[in-house]
Amino acid sequence: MTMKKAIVVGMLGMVLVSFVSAGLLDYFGEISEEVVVSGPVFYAVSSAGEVGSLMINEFPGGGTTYTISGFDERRFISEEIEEIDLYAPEMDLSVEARLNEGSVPKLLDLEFGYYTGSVDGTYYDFCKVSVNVTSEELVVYSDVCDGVSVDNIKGFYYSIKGRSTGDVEIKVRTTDGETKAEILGVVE
Amino acid sequence: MKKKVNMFGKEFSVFALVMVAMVTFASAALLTYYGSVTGLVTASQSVLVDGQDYNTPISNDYNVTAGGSVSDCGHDLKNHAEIPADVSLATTCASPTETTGTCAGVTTEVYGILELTKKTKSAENVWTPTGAKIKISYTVAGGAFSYNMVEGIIPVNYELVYAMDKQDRFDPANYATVFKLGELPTSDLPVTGDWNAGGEGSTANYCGNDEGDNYLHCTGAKLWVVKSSDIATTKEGDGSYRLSYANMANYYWETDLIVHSTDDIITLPANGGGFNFCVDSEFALALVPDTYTITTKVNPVL
Repeated sequence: MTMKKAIVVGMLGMVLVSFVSAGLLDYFGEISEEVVVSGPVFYAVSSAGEVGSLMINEFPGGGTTYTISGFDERRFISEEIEEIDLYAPEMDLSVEARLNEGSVPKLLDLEFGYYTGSVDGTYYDFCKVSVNVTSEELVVYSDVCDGVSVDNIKGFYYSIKGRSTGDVEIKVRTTDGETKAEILGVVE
Repeated sequence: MKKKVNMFGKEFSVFALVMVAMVTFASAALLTYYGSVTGLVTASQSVLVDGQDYNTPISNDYNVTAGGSVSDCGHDLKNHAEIPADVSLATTCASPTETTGTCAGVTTEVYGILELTKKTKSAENVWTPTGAKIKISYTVAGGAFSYNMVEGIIPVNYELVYAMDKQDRFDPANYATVFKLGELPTSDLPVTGDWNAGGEGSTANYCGNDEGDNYLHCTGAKLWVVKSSDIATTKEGDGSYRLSYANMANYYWETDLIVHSTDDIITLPANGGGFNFCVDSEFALALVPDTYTITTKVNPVL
């Protein structure tokens, strides 16, 4: 048999094997799920004390409307979670508030951050924004900011702080799940 | 007259060439075969996923927040062949930035689902569900059999058991005996010799029998919830226990048959064996927001 013939016979053999193999199923079926995953949401829920709860992904209802005068601050802190490393988050910080008394200035500082070690550990901010409360009706004010990637996170906090003179009083509502911090995505 | 022609620079006799041609044609006239019989065989797929063959895509879309989970339920696997079929399940995950088949921060699990109900038995031996039910999830493959409650509760002093029928199951000597879940002879269900598995000598068919059963899966293993005190205290030779049926009105009976394998190869009993299942996926809190595609393939094991 010449070399040419041998090659032709070999190729024919391969084609035949291909046809026979194609007769067996690789799989009986497949199920696919396309899941669009959005970033976690942190809901501020007031409590009787100075520190409120920060609930991850699940707004439990409840909450209250509380007053911030002057430079008052209210923090909402999550329970300890299993330690995680987080990418640099693009945050949307929002608050549902209304001007109760006073006129200018009417700013609120919103700050989202994390703690390491334990709930009594050290607190660091991811980022902060300032919103101007302009209405005497309840309105949701929000702004976006960027954080950096962080390792070994044990929990999160959300801080709402007044930046006004003492005669300015702002009511903040946490009963509708609109006072919250939300991760929109990864900082580009 | 001798005619000659020139071919390839040589002279050939025309007579000789004609003779060669005749021999060639005569040879071509010999039959190479007397006839052929062609049979057209349309082979249908033996194991179907959700009643569909491999050509039919099965897909669902979900939205979830990182830190949450998705339960993709309502799936079933069924072997339509007359012989058992071995299959394995393989799940992969992909996203625009993850192409390796796994996504860090996404974990998936495939588990079986079974509903059990109370039933009443008529004088004609027909069983009818009463409506009271419980639902469990259970491990289908890999490791010992275990289960979790999904809906309802197992009453106090009752327990979940594997009920095995034996050949000639209406002979009182062969009425279903039960295995306590922690004492299975092997953890593969159904066990060898279970009449319900539809093996040799068995006519089991729960997809429409004269006892009122019309399950999705025709052969396999039965799970019941029975009163613990109805289970005999003495073991049979095969490790099973006799059941007194004293409180059978309060038992929760199977509404379908199942299978379970201790390793990754699942044997689906012949003639309609299989199971109902869910694919659960959990998404870590720190997972990057994106679109993830989770694919579960049912592969034949040859």
